[in-house]
Amino acid sequence: MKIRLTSLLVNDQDKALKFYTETLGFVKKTEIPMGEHKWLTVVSAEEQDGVELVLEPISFVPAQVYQKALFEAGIPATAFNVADVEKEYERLTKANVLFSVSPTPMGPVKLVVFNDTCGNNIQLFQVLQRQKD
Amino acid sequence: MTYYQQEMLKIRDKYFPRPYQISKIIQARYFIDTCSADNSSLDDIARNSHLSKFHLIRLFSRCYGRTPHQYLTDVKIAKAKKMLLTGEGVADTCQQLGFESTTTFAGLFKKYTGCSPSVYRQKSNFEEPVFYIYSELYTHKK
Repeated sequence: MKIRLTSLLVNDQDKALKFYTETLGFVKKTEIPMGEHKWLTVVSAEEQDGVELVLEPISFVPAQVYQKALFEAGIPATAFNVADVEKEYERLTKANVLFSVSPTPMGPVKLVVFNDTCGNNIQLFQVLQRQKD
Repeated sequence: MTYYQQEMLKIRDKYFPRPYQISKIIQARYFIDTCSADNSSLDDIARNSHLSKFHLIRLFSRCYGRTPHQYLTDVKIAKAKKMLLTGEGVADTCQQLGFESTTTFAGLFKKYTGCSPSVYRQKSNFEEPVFYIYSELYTHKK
């Protein structure tokens, strides 16, 4: 058994695809029409053979309730690893992305949380490295 | 401040080591990342980080959720995978990464990757694309 996919509920698949590719920089991997919705996955541009993120439609009402509760509490639906969280914070702020948590050290990582415009808070984290001598 | 941020800060203050200790643990991790090609021991890692072995294990585990030894093994296996894929022999890889014996190396490698070093060395990276029909679960209407 292997982990090849992870799923994120989004309230608008087209809007999500635009945000995750054009703003965050992911790459579309698969798109299969399925009536009103589609099977839609994106991957990291730096790891295109890596785990796929499924941008999952959310017509199911209990799932909407769950997503809304998480969002209102500021709880991230998922987290992505970056090399430099400050740099991403600066880049995404310029792209008008709204952050609920600015760069904050948390033990051996530094993190931020932003609004993905599709109903989710997303966390970015950087594993801190030794300061250069 | 969101509920999440409040909880996050509480957890940080309660469970993570102090900043000066964290910088020592980051140093220990860096030492493991860069020195795993020799026979680095826990003593070496602790000495390099100016921590006792006991403190090193305790603080490292609190920061990364792995003991220094487990992390060292992770790093060695990742390096072994790279070396094997670039054509390095199993015995040479084992020796360069400081494993006790090829038997120990092969056993650990299989545990981490699911196949023996020699099979891994030969295998192609190609895997069939996989997807599952899950969206159907979310297509219900009000």
